[in-house]
Amino acid sequence: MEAWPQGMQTLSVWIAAILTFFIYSFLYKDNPLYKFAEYLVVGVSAGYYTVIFYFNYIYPNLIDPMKDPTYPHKWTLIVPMLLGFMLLTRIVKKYAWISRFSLAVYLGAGAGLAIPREMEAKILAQVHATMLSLWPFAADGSFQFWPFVTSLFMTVGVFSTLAYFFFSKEHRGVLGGMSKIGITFIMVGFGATFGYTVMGRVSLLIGRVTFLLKDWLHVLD
Amino acid sequence: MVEFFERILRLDRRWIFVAIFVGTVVPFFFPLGLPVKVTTEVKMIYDFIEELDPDGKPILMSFDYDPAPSAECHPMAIALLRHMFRRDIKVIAVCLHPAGPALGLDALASVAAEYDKEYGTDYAYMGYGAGFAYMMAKMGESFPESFPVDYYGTPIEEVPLANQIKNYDSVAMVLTVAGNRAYEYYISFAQAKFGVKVAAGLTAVMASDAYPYLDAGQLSGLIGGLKGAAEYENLIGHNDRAFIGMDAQSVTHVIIVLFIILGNIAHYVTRGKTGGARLTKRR
Repeated sequence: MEAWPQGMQTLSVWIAAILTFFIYSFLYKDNPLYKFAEYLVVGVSAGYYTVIFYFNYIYPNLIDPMKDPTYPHKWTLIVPMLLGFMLLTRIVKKYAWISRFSLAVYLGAGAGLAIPREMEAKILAQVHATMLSLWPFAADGSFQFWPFVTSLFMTVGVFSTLAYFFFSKEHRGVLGGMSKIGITFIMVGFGATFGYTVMGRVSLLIGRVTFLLKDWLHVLD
Repeated sequence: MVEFFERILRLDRRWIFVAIFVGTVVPFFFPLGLPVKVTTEVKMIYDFIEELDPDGKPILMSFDYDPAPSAECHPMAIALLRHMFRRDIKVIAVCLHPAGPALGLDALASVAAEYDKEYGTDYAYMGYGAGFAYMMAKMGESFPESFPVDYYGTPIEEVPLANQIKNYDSVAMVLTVAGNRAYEYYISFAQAKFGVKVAAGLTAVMASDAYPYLDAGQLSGLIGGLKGAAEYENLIGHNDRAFIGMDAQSVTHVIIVLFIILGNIAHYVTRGKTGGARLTKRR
């Protein structure tokens, strides 16, 4: 990779540092500097993604084959091109219904591609992973305490959580008791997710602080 | 005492921001040296790479993150590359996030320079491939058709390492560093369909969702957030950005927990006094 000239690198670090302060200034209160940085992100992103998508989707899949005299069955490209243009009819309310044909094709193709794989990866494999042996003895007859506890915990967790989401019967008696255990498992899951989320957000702040101290101010090694 | 807690509930939340900021910055100058415990899921990836034959199959590394989560993902990508290059493992890299190619290039170029690796034979970068599901399914059928040219526009036939890759059978593992659901697509379209091993480095926000796949054996390892990256840096003995941020992470977590406890006590103590009225006010 050809490195940027030193001056450009320094300038880019300064711009990034200044924009970091602009964004964090929102923590004090909303202000024009924050708005400027926010709009800049939106504008730059829109421009960047437009170029990326044009040169990675439209150009190689449509424009390039159209220009290529050896490309077989060139006329078939008219179908996706038309579907693409039909999507744009959403801009005009009166003709927005036309875009539904494109969306139908998009959703149909997406579902056809995803459903078999999702079924296998996210349902069958996950169900299989919960089918654990509750027999506490190994082949040699020794008592396996922790594997037994883990399997029992997993089994109780799965059944009680499923019981919580069973709405065809009032949650009383055995079902009520199971659903209460289920909600405990769900809350533990939410707690873990919340903890990870906090850690993630703090990590982003640490990333910015590291950038400011190390790359901008050079006060860290 | 009640007055104190009422003041706590009326505290301008900007003081909390100041506390978090101070808690983040100070440990950089006064490190606490808190230990970073390595978790099993991170060690799984380390062990896999450690046991890999350098003359065997390369690892397919997928840079699937944009600048937003790069504070978490970039350190783990760099730590993984350091480990692979140190062990002379060949790396074939792709990027399936439209805003990720430059980050992938930065990680590859900087770590390759550290270990004096040669482009084309020790590693190759195929750049951006558009569409998660499409590219992952297509790579399993034909890698050269998925990436006919590399990042620099060189035809794949002229990039020796990339030219060896036919499909997922040609790689030892798919290693995705992702700030999105790319790892789920890899599980569905690479692991489940073609049987290739998949491991993931994910942002902390997403890591908890990935554990069921780890337990089911669909993921062969998991690095979660900056903490996971710090664990990996610790494992390879090259402490860098993730590791130095861990003290700040710990201190900040303590501050957040203290505020949560204080806030709950304050609510409990003042609830009779205020008749349940909300004292906190957004500013």
